[in-house]
Amino acid sequence: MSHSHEFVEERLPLYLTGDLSKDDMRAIEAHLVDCRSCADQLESTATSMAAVLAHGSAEPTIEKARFPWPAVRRAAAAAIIFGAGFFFGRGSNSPSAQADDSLPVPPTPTTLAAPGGSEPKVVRTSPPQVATRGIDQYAASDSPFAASLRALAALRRP
Amino acid sequence: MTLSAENSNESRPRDARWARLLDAHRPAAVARAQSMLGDRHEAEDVFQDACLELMGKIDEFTDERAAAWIKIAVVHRAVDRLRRRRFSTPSASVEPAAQEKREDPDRRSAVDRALRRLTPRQKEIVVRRLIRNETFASLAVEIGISETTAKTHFSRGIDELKRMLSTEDEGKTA
Repeated sequence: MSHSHEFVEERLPLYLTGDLSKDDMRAIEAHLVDCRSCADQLESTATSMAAVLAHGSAEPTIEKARFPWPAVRRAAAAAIIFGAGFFFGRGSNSPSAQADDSLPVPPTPTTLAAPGGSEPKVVRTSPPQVATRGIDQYAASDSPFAASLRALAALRRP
Repeated sequence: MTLSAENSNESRPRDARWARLLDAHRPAAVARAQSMLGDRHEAEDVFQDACLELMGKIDEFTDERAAAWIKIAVVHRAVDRLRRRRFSTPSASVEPAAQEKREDPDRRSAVDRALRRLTPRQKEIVVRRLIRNETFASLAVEIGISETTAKTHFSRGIDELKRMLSTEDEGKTA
């Protein structure tokens, strides 16, 4: 028995599938013939492998241990887009930039004090307008999300 | 005394020893193979294959070592036969009734439970090598690990399965 019990027991599954070198196969067989304990281990190992071969499903739910590249790519793209958006959008926080970027303020009713203390008269200078702009106009602005939109559009361009 | 008679006298004790060994170990060896294969005829075939190989080296072995060798050869050949059965396409020679007889729902669910409790890597390698018959070389490359590492995962996975299945068996008999 030139090999230790530990050496032999560790290799019993590979001995049974024939996945060892010829020298190792011969050495393990020689050990097994003289070692009752390891021969018993071989029998229980073979019984378990037989059970798996006879009853094991060929398609169990194998969690593929592969790196999730598509998910990582999507996450990285999102991070870059929003990061770029916030980075480039920071410049628009200055008062002048805010003024330039501010949406048109809808005209508000103007209260005029009527002469003689009578009821104040409300004069509407123009009809109320909703603060809307086209998506292109918004995307062209300096806001952080506009920058994100531009980056996203650039990515989707063929 | 003729040469043939001389040979006959020499081989007589050998034959007697051979017959004695087979008689002594046949019942246990066939029962062991049958418990693994689930088929009496296949178990007999496995025992005969093992004996044919032993015949060539019987003079090298004491009775005790010959008995150990029969046990080792029988379980090894039973695993080989199961692998061949698993990987060969279903043939007309396998009767559906015999196939159904081999199915054991309790054993199947015990094996599936044990497989689920392995680590994902162990399970993947055990299934791919043992059940799908992929080589270690190809599956190691595909997974991105060395062949030696794949073999280590396989051996540990089989050890875990052995431990879990024997615990289940003990639970049933208790």
